[in-house]
Amino acid sequence: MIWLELALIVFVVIGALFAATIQGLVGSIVTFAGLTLGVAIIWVLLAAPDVALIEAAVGAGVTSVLFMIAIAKTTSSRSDEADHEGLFRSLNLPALTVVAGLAIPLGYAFLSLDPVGAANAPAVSSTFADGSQTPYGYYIEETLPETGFSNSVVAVLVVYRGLDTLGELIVAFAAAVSILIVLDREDIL
Amino acid sequence: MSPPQTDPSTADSKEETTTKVTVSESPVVKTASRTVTPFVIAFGIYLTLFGTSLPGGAFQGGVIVASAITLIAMAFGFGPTQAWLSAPALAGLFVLGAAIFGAVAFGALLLDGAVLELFVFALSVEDMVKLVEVAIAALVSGVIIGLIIWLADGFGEGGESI
Repeated sequence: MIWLELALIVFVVIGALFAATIQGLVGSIVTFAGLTLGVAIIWVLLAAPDVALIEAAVGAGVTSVLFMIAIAKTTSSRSDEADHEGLFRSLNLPALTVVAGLAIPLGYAFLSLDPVGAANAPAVSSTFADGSQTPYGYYIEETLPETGFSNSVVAVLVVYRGLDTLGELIVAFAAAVSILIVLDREDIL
Repeated sequence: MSPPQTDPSTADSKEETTTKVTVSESPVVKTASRTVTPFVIAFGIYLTLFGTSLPGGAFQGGVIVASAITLIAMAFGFGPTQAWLSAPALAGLFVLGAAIFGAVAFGALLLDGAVLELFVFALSVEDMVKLVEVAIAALVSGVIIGLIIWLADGFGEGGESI
């Protein structure tokens, strides 16, 4: 299993480098969709199927289509021409410096994470070091007796944190309404 | 309901005016997406209804239903798909979702509960959560289908189809 995970991580990192540096925006989008499917399989291996479904449907599907629509509507055929011969773009050094400045602290933070499934990891343990109960432990232990749901993700989304979900949906609703206003078709509402 | 048919004559004239992205005329792509779509939509509804006990949930189910319609739009073209899907029905989908969720959230106040307190209703908590899940799935799928179909086709005169 560890070899499958390592292969997927290598695939995702190489895919990300390709997506950032390949010539042509359509190539970047297709590479990005492919690496997102790799990320979705990693979520499945990390026992997070809910996140994997969203990652595959939104990250690989809907986002790629929106990117395609955006470049089809905005770029002229000249602006997407190759800036030089070969498969890759010429690299922008200041941008590379900013990306490295972000990647190094993130990589350092990654090394400080607990291993997956460790007994004292915050996402698993039900008590803090001083013996008091963690919120994560509360949801994991009390969801089934309190609500009868075996999927605690849905219980948190709708029962315990319903107000947050209501706020999220107001944002989505506002997005749809503002598209209709921008397109001057609010009369169908 | 059957997927939209592209009229060959209009498809040809469209290809002349817009040269950037032409809609696939491959019968393989059309048949494959037409065959797969009912199963994908059924999977989305299944994820929505069984999210309380199995991996999944309303956001996942709604997005998967929307991605099935996106597949149809990619195979048959955004213009024909927009003509096939009724715009008021699509708007009604997300308005209905918002209305159900809002009614459940603030209806609890009438029954002496707090906002979104699902335990005060006559139905069991599981049934209330399933009602809310269906509302969320309707809103999410309506918003995403509208986002893609309307933005891609420009919605009405003046908008240029890709």
